[in-house]
Amino acid sequence: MKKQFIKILSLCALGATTVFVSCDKNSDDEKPEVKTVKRVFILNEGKMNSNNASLDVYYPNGENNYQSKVFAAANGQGLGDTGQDLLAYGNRIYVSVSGSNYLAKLDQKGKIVEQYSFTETDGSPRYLAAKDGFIYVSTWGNKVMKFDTAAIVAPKGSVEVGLNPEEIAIKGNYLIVCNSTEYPINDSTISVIDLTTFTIKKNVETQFGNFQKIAVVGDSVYITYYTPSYSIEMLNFDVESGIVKPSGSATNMVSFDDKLYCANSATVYDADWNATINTNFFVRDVKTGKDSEILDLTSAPELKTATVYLFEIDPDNGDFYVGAADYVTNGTIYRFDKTGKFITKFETSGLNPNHAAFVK
Amino acid sequence: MASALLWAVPMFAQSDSTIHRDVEAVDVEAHTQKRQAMPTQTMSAIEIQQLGVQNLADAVRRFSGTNVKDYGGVGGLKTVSVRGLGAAHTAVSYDGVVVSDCQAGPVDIGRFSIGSIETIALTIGQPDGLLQPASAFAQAAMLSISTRKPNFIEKQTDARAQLKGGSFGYFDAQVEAARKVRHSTLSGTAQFMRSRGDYPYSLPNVDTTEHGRRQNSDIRSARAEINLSTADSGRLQNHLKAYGFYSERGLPGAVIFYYQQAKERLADKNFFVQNDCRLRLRDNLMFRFQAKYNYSWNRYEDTNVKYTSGRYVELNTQHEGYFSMAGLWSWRPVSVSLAGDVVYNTLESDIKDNPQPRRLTFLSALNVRAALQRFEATATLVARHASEKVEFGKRPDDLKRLTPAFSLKWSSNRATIRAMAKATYRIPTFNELYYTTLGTTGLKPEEARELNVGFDFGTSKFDFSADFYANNVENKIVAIPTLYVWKMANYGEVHILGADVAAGTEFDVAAVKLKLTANYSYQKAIDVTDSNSKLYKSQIPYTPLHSGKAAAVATFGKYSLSATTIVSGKRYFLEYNIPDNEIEPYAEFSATATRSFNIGGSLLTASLSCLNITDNQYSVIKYYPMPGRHFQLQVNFTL
Repeated sequence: MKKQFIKILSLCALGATTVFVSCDKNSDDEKPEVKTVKRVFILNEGKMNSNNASLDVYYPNGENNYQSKVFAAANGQGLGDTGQDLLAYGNRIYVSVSGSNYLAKLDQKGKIVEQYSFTETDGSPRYLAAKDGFIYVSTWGNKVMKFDTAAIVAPKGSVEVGLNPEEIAIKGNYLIVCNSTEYPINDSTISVIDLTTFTIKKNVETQFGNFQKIAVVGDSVYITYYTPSYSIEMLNFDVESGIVKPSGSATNMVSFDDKLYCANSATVYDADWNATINTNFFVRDVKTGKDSEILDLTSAPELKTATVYLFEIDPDNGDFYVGAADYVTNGTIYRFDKTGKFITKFETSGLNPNHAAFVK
Repeated sequence: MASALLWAVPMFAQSDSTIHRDVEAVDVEAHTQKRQAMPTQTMSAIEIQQLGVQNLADAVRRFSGTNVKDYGGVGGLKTVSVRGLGAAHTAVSYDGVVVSDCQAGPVDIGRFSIGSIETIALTIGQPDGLLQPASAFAQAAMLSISTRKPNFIEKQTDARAQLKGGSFGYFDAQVEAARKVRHSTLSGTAQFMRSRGDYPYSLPNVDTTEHGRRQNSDIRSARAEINLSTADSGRLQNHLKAYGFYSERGLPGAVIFYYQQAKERLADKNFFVQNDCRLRLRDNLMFRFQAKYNYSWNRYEDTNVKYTSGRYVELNTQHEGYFSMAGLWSWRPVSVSLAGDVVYNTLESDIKDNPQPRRLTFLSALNVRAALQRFEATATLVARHASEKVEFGKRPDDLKRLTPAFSLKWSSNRATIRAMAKATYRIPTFNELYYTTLGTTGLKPEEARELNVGFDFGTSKFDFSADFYANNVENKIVAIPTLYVWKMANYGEVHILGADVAAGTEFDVAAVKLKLTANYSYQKAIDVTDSNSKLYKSQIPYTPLHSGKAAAVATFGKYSLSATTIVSGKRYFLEYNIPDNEIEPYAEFSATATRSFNIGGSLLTASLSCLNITDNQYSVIKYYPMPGRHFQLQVNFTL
C-alpha cells in the first residue's frame, strides 16, 4: 500500500515536472534579410525595464510586406531597453536606445555598423537630428552631443543646454532644443545652438516650460509642451525675436511640403481621473494659420479614441503612417494616402511604436 | 488538534483544564492546519530548518495557491498574493497583531527574519479563531507569523544562538535568551545580517546570452526584540513586545541589457511596541485587548545626472496608533464575538505635493458561530469607517463599508468538508491617493469576492486536501498611462478559477522516518474588463496556470536529509498573452542535510543546503534573475 502510494506520488511528480518544464523553446524562426527596396523602418519603444524595444520593416509596395524584429535577426541580439528615436540619414539608420543607453549606426539592413555607449555623465540618449555629416543627440545629462557620421564611436563634442532635453530640430544653422523637466523643476527655456561654433546661441526664457516635441516648417518653429494641468499644447516659436505664442494643441507634429501636419490625442480626465482620448488629425497652413482636417477615419473609426504614438509622413509620396499604442498590447500602424484615404493597417512586433524611418 | 480556540468553544463548560489548554493554544493556533472551515497551511521551525528554507518568502511560496513576487536576492522585495487577488489583499500579522504599510500597501515579507519563527500560517479567508481583532477578518487572506516561544523544560533559562553563512557574502547571526520569573517570561533577540548579493546570472538575448553579476544588490540589517509574556493559570495571558529593525540595501533593479547603472539605495527603520492581552472572565466569556504603536521610516536615494544636482532623495515617515478590543461569549451551541479596532495612520513625506495625509479607521467585526454535532456554521460581518485629513488639496470621501463572510463545515475525526464565501476589498494606499502626479484621491476600494469549497481527509500517516475556488476582482486599482502621465484609476475586472490540491504522508522504513508532501495549484485568472480588447480573457501577468511543490524529508536518528522542488508553468510578464511576453517555466531543486549533536546537555544542529542544485537560471519577475546554485550552512545552538 505504502509502496504503491510512493510510486503514484513519484509518477505524479515526474508527470508534473514534464508538463511544466518540457515545453521546448520554439524552433528557430527563419530570419529573412531586410530587402533593399523601398521600406519603412518602425521602432517599437517597448516597456521600460523589459528589454523589449524592437525594429520592424514594412514594405509599402510589396506583398508579404512586413518583417518583425529585423534588428534582432540582423544582429543576433535585441535592441535593448526603450527605443527612443530613429533617423535615416545618408545611407545609414541611427537609433537611440535610452534605457540601454546607446546610439547605434545601422546599415541599410539594420545591422550594427558601430555604436556609442553613453557614460554616466553623458546621461541617457534621447532624440536625434542630423546636418552636414553630423548626428546630434539630446541627453538627460542636460547636453546635446555631436557625433561624426563617419565614426560615432567617440563624440565630437557636447553643449550644455537646459534640463533633460527632449526633441531637437535643425533650422538653418541652428539647432533648437526642447528643454523639459528635472523633477521637480520644469525648465522654461528653449535652447538655441549655433551649429557653426557648436555653442549656445541663446537660451530663450518663456512663460511656458517642460517642452517636448519640435517641428520646423520653413521659417516657422512649432514646439509642444506639457501644461501643469495635464494637457499637451502647441507653441509657435520665433527664433530670431525669441517670441513664443500659444498655437493650439497637438501631440505629434510632422513638417511636410511646407505645411505642419498634426495629430492631437487629447486626454480628457473626469473627476475620478478616468481618461478618455479624443484624437483628430489636421494640417496647418503656416502662412494663414488655418487648420483643416486630413484623414478619413470611416475605415478606422477606432483611431478617434486611440492614443497616437507615431505620426509620420513618407517624404516620397505623402502617405501618412499613424501608430496607435496602448502601452500594453503591440501597436497598430494605420496607413493613409496623401489625400487621407485609408490604405491598410498592420500590427507591429512590440509595444508603443514611436518612430518610422523611410529608406529607398 | 483542537487548538483553535473558538472551534472548541462548545467544550468550554466541560472542564477547566480543557479551557486552559484552549486558551493557551490560541497563541499557537497556527499549528492546526486541517479541519478548518477556511483553507489553512502551516510550516514549523523544524520544517524550515529541515527543508533549508531561506527566508519567509521561500516558505510561503511552498504553500499552494500562493504567488510570491520575488525580485531576487536577499534584499529584493518579496510580496505574497493569494489566489490571483493581488498582494494588497493579503494581511500579515506578527505575533497576533496586524502589520500594515499604509504608504506602499503590500508588506515586504522579506523583512521578517526566518530565524525567529516558530510557525507560519497562511489562511485563505480568515483565521479560525473568533477572538481576534477586527482587522483579522477584513481581508482575503492572512499570513500569520508567530515567533518562537522559549522552552523551559527542566530549566529556568533558555538560550539559543544561530549562525548562517552562505554564498555571495551571506552572513546571519542571531542570539536569543529567555528567563522565567514566576508566571512571566522575559526574552530578548538580537540579529545581524548582511549579504553582498552579487550573484551571477545569465539571461537569453535572441541568439546570445547576457552574462553578468547582480550589482547594487547588497544588504545589511539588524533587528532586536524584547518580549515579556505573562500567563496566570489560564485566566490572563499577556504578551508585550518591543521590536526594532534597521536595514540599508541597494536596489539592483531590472537587468537592463548593455548598461548596468543601478544606483538606488533604500534605508529602513522600523520600531514598534505592541501588547496582546487575553482575559478569561468566566468559563464562557473572554476578552482580548491589543494595542500597538508603530514607527516606520525610509529613505530612498537614486543617483543619476537626470536629477537636479545628480541625486534624488525621498524621506518618508509613518506613524500608526492601534487599539483593539474583542469579546467572545459562548452559549452552547452558539458563540458570538464582537471586535472593534481603532487605527490612526500618518504619513510625513518630502515627496513633492505630498499633503501629509492622516487616516482614522474604525473597524468592527461581528461573528456568530453555531456548532451542532459535526456541523459548524459561521457568519461574519465587518464594518469599516475610514476618513482622511490632508494639509492641502483634495481628500478622498469617507469610506463606509459593510462586508459579509459565511462558512460552513462538516467534520469527523478523519475528514472535513468546507465551504466559504467572503467579500473583501482593499483600500487605496497613500501612494495611490497622493503620490506626485500619479496619485488620485477619487479612487474607490478594489473589490474582491471569494468562494471556496474543499475537503480534507487524513489519518496519522496520510493526509489529503483539495480546495476549489472562484474569485473575482473588480474596480482594480491600477496605473493608467497617457501621453503625459501615469495616473491611478479604478479599472479592470478579473475572474479567477482555481484548485489547490495537497497530499502528505509519513511512514517508517526500518529506522528511517520518511515524510513526503506535495501540492499542485491550478489557477486561471483572466482579464474580463473589456470584451472588445485584445486582452479580453488573457491570463493576468505573473500567474502560472499550473504550479506545484514537493518535498521529501528522511530522518534517521540525529540525521535528516531533505529534497524539495518548486515547479512553475509558463507565465506572462505583461498583460498581452503573446509568446514574446512569456516567462519560461522553471523547476528549482534544493537539498539539505541536517545533523544534531548533544554536547553536554546542549543541543547543536547543523544544516548544509545546496539551493537551486541544477543551477537553473530562472526569474520570478522578468529581468530580475534569481540566484543560481548556491550554498548555505546553518548552525543552531541551544544551551
